[in-house]
Amino acid sequence: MSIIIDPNEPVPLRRKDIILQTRQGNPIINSQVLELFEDEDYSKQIDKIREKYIGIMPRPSTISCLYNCHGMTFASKRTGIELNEELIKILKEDNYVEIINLASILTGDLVLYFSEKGEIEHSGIVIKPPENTDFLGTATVLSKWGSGFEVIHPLYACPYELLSVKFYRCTN
Amino acid sequence: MTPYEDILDYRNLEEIVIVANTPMFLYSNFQKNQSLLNFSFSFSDQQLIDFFYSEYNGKRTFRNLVNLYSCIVAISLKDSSYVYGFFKNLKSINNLKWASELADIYFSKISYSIIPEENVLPNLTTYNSLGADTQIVNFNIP
Repeated sequence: MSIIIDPNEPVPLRRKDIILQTRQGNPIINSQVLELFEDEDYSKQIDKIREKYIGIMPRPSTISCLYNCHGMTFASKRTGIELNEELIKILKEDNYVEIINLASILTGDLVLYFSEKGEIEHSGIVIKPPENTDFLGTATVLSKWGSGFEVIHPLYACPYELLSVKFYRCTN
Repeated sequence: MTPYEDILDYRNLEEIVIVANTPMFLYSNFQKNQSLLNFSFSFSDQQLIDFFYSEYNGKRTFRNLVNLYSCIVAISLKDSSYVYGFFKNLKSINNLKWASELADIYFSKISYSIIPEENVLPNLTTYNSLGADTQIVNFNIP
């Protein structure tokens, strides 16, 4: 589904939303972008990212603009979710609660990376809990890095704000 | 060769464009990039707007996309009614991902002093302060 835009013929960006709702049935604003650059600069930068972050394992064939990290975490890779308000809505209406006791973090819990302004900057799924709560960096996470690839990475080996990382669990 | 290719730190800016999950992440991180600040300070608002449209009409590559975002953020750091007009137009551009969202971020940050006068219709209301002979004026810009 990759599309190289022909700049000589400005065409509307191929972007659409899909029906997506919270558990309570309220709509979630989302956006699929059908655009991907496959030129040399893009490929080189992807390679640099692979080299820069130690211990990461990009998942093959996952480079896509169709969904972002939040679309992977909250919408099963169907679309992208870009607005902080929508993420807050999902956390509330899907019954996510913050895990305060870090010793109880389990595989399948979510990790959210907050910006210095308190907005949710990045999200992922815990695939290996931290070995001890003194150093959460031993946790391993699966997340999608923007329009790049899905990555299996140590909690702190990623290009996002690391000062405020919190864990959440969906409760019934 | 554009006059800003030597100024912009593509290694960092390109990474930001790739890993950005949201337009706010892109905007915030571009704004923190020293080369982007240098770019903004090195040219006038009109020059930056010209660069944007030149890039916009150019070949759409990944580097071109990075240049477009660089121009948008650099322009947003300027403070004039020309810039306000640019972002009004940016809202209607539909073949650049996040053009509209970046315009919204700009509008959420600007001071009302640079909005062209004809668009500003402040609402003035007055009431008396409790316990004092002072009249308080509320000044709301819609």
